[in-house]
Amino acid sequence: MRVPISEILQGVSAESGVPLEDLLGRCRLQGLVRARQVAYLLAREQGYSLPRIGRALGGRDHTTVLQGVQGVARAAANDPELFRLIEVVRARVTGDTDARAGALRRLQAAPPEMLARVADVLEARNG
Amino acid sequence: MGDPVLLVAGLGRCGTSLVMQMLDAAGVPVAGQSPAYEDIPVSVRFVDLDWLDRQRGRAVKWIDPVNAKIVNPEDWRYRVIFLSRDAQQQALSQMKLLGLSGDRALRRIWRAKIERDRTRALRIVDRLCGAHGTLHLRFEDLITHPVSSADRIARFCDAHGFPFGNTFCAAGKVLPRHPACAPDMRIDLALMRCADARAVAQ
Repeated sequence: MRVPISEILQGVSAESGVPLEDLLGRCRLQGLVRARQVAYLLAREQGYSLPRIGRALGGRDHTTVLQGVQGVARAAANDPELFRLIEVVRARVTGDTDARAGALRRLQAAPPEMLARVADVLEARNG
Repeated sequence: MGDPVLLVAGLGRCGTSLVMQMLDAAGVPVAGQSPAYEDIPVSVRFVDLDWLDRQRGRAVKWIDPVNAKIVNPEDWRYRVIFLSRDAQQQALSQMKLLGLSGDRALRRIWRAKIERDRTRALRIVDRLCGAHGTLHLRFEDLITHPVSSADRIARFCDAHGFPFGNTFCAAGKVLPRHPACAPDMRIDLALMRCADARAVAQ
């Protein structure tokens, strides 16, 4: 199930300190643009289309969203603060980080034949 | 004999986090942090009894009762909300979370394990607190009928010493599904809207 874009925006706003109206607004200050791009990226991860994200974030063009997603992903690779912001908001909106860690921990107790099959699937996937 | 511990039990991906969020929203003290409530000292094999002792009067998420054992000293009381879900869907959801979807053979093994573990988990829960101390909920009911499910949780909590606040606040934690997925949910959503309107009017 997809997390609603409104929740992603609230998460970005709460973690970055950028008010919701600025996320939806037209201001192009760097800090605001970055926060907006984090919202694009997380919405894209949830499977929303570029035009849908653009509409939800104040009626932006889909190419703006695409550029933002690519830009923030590149920037996060060299900016630990930005990377941390993305991780924190992602964990906040999806709640999957703890859940995934728990699921991995519990997988240790799975029967050997299941673990063997998991290993086969992962091996096939990683080539 | 001290306060009981309210355990929200089930196998992974059956709505335990959602019930914890509902309890949290209704003012029941809970262990751990939203949204997953899994930042608690539970090893693969045991739940830490000393830690659990400090959680009396609170709700604690207890995933995988078959493996994460809870010791049951004589002077302890537990109450359990046990969640179950369609095994096929649960297997798919667990595999998706771990990035393992797509393999049919693994899905069959996974589903069989869930069915086996659920039977064992129910036996463990029954031994821990008996039928009178357990509330059984289905994940499917939880997401399609949030209000009536929250009401059942509220009555169970109130009866066992965990004062439960606003049922509609709790039900509001269930995110609306598309009508195609959950047609009955429209009724519950309408009820929630009425409750919101009443709250605003007051």
